[in-house]
Amino acid sequence: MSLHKYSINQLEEMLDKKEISAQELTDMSVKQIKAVDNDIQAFLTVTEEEALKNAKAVDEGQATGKSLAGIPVSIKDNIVTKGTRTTCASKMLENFTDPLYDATIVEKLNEAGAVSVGKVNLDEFAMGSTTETSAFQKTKNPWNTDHVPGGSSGGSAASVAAGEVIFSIGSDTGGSIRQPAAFCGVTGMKPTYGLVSRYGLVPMAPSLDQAGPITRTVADNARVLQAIAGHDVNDATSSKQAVPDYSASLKEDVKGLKIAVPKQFMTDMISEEVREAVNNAVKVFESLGVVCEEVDMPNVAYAESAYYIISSAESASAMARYDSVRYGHRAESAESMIDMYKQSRTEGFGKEVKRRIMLGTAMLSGEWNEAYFRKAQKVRTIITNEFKQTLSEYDLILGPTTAQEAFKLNETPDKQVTQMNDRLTTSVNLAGVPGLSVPAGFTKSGLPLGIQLIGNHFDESTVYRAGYTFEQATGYTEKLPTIGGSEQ
Amino acid sequence: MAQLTEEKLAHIADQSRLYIADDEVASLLDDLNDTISYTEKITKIDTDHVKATTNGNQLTNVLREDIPVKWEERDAALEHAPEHDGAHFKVPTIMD
Repeated sequence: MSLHKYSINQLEEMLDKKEISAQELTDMSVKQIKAVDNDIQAFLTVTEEEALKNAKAVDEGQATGKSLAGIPVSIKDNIVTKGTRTTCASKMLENFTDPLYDATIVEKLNEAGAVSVGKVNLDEFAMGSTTETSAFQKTKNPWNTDHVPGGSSGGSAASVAAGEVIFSIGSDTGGSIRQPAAFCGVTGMKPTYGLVSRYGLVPMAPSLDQAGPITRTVADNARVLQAIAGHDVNDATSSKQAVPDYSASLKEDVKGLKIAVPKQFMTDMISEEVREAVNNAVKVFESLGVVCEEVDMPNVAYAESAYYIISSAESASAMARYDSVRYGHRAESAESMIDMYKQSRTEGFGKEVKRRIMLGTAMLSGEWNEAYFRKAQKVRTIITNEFKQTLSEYDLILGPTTAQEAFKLNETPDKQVTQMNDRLTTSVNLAGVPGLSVPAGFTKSGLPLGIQLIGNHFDESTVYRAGYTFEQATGYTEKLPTIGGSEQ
Repeated sequence: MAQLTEEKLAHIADQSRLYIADDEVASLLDDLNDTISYTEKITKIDTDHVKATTNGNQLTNVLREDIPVKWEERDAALEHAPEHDGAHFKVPTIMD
């Protein structure tokens, strides 16, 4: 038996019937990590001993009736974990061995009985879309190890796709959950901004950052979001809105729903295979009684530009905390305080992080502040209004998650493709609405593709309902990569 | 069209508290100016009378009761500091 093909619902039933124990589940997870992670390189830290201890507590009844009791999970290494090293895949935090507290998400997972088996790789401080900017290792795509898993939550998506865990928690500032989910053939949700607490999620661009689940199936995803969503007094941007029962609405009929497909998501930059996958999805939905219509969202074409300005400006500010005074890397030969800051940061940060800090600082400086940063914030308002307008006429927006399949490792992706990818995902962060990437087929070369379903603020239920219906109608989630141990 | 010059880049790097090696300047300038040029297109949008979105959602001043919590991890937290004397963080000389 491998973890690959089991859903949380199935595992819960098996645990209830004592067909399997939480310790056996954890053991399977750890064994799979040992078997495949030399190739996949998803994990930065494996917490085997603690995981087995926590699993034992589950078996002894300490999590009876809890929603994720005994389920193995991996956590992106920009989410703080008490007693476990948290690096953000940066040399700056290489020796940050104990953040001394758990992120609220981690607390909630613990309360739900989930068993964390470790921390997974990401682009350094979540800045990137291939997981190659990690200071420590390059994670590989489980479907083809010559390709990247996407990013920045590449370790999360790869660890789920490779059957190392049942689910993972990632974070998404401009597509970092959805894009790797699409590249790795798994399901990733970027929830409404404010639905999931950011307390303990190391900030990249605080007005855009949101954590969410990466799972194999939509039903699993809904269960995990249920466990981590909700108000948190420690996050001043956390919503007080009541969290609905996501699983309950999954099976409701989609007949009569209206889905908009924006022209601006289907430009010439979209590969033929991705276009086909989206068109196929439209046909599937139409066959189920959904009305799908092409719409015009002209301002979405400016999303990636506004995002580059806003996210880098916020990152420049967020990264200012790494001063090598209280924690983090410190250069040895500093002669003065300022020299210490500069040397330590120059040594501790990788190229992409430094690039974004400088870009953001430029965007915030002098006259550029009004011309770029302030302007981009106004454009953000216009983009948000465009989403609200479209979602007042339609229940959902549909598009590709990415313009094409996963990039090859060690190859600089084409700039125009990257910009198109960014448009597809960053627009959703700018508007603060939820976006779900669901597996939607494969390229001829066997790499997975994803479609994105976007809903209104706090309407994750409708997004999940459409995603679940599509998944059940198509069965793309059933196919698994052949990497070590999966039973086809 | 606004572009970074070598001089402005040096200023930005100083503000960012980063050093740039001499042999990195040219490629970094190209790279950053390329992105800056790309973002120029937003200047075409009419944003007169549009309010800026500064937060991820409309929530402002979400306050909670201020309850003191005893925190007893000072020693452990100090252990993260590159240099400390058991009660303070230590840094290089600030003034002569």
